[in-house]
Amino acid sequence: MYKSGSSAALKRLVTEYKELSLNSPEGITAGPISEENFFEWEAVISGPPETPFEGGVFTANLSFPHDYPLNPPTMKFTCPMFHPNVYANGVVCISILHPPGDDPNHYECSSERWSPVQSIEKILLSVLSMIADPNDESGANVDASKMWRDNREEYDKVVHAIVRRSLGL
Amino acid sequence: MDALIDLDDPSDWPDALPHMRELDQLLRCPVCKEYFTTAMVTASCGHTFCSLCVRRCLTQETKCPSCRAPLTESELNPNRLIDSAVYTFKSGRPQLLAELRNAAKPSLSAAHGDTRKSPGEIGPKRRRIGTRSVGMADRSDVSSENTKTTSMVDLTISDVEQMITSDMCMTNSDDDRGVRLAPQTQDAGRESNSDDSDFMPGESSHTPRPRPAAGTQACVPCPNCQEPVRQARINWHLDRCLAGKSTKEPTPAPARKQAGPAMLLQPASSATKCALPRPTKLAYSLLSESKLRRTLKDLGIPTKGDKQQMQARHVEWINMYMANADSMTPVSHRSLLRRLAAWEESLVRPPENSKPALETENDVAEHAAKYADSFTALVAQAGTARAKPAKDAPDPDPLPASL
Repeated sequence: MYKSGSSAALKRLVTEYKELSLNSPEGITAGPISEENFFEWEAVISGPPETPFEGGVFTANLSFPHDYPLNPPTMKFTCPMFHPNVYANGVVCISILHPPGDDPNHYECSSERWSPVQSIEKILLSVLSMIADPNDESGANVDASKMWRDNREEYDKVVHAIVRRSLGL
Repeated sequence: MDALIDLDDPSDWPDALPHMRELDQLLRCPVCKEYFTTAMVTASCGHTFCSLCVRRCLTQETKCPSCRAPLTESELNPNRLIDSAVYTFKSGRPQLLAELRNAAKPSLSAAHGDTRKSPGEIGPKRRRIGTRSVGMADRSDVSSENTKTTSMVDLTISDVEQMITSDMCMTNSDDDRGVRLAPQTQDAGRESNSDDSDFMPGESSHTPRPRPAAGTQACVPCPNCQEPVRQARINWHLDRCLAGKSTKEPTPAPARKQAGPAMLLQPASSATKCALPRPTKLAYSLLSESKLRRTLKDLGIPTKGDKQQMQARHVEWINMYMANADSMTPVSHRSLLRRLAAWEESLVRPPENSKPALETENDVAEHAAKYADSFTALVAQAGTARAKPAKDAPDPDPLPASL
């Protein structure tokens, strides 16, 4: 009944898993890769409608620290992704995933950053809205940022190709 | 792990009862998502968290986790009503859920039996809570016959708090020693200087509550000297009577400060016999490793590991110590030390990590192999689209090495 380090993290992850599996927001599925280890999750995100990502299905891994929810998880796409806020290696760069008190980019207002009252659901919703509406100030993928800003047609083309690949076409 | 899967959560309530879901949700800490354990309310923004949760958060950032308003530990106040509400809600939850399940099952016998049963069910349950609480609170009491008749309708918050205390005494096997000690020590401390006839073991640091007059003035014969004694004073009387001391009751002293609201802010750490010294915050960067080690030794907590480990341990110890001091049912420092050890172990040894980690690696490798040509195609495509900058610009935001 008491809360020690990882057992608190584990309990919270189990609770969030239960919540998410009962009513997950549209376009999002997430859960532990294996029930043996609740600290590694896989999320499946469907491309938001009315964006170039529409119709795509994207997989990502979420990796939780042992002091979760004091610190946020990290999120990494495990499928090809081309987006201004996703690094070439798939790591998602979004303010809600940045731990409190640490602002490497000096552009975020702290209200957008991680707080222990945030949740996996909120992260995934933020990622959905990030996919639909990139933040070109953060620019994790410089090429994608530039293309998105200067040559939207080309960007859409690249994204469409990724969508097709995400469906195994 | 199996037990963890059975964690209760608001979704246990049927869809048809959204208000119960909401209430269930409201009684949970937004940080740990469990029912509040020693609820603390922030002075400035009025948000409520578990004591340990909010203290851990504040260690990291001195802001309210909910609204990010500036917040320090000195601005935290106990929210006892929430503790009582959580206790009551948790006690009634299984019964209510069972009743709901029964009601949902349209069985043959239910049609006849349940209508008669449901109003009656409430009665015995309440009575049971009543007798149980009284029985436990007055465990050392020789006679509690009159108190047992106290109507449950007169339940006040203090009563519930008392139940919490006494219930914890019985059920918390992990930490029972410290808890059991608590009421007695407090009792002894008060006896010497006050004549609070309402005082019951476990009723600590709360304002005196109005009690039904019936139980208070009732007299019972002392089993030792047969003298009629006010029932509420029987313990005090017996102690003195058996020790051969004067059993004359002292004249009522003026109300002393211990019942005042200020007491709510005082840690109840006096409860423990083998009390360890109260830890204070340190400026770790100004302390040498050996000095920190000595401080930890003086505090009675483990001194192994390097400076960083000792610092983390010291921080967690302060949080645990303070959260325990906030609690209505503080545990012994020995139990607290066990928790500290468990906490540390969970950090060092991630639970059952090896196998799934391997799977993950395989998954990733598989995935990479599967999409290898996609990647190359993508690279080619990106290459053609990219006119002049041949090389990737260096990452403007290098991520932690963990990735």
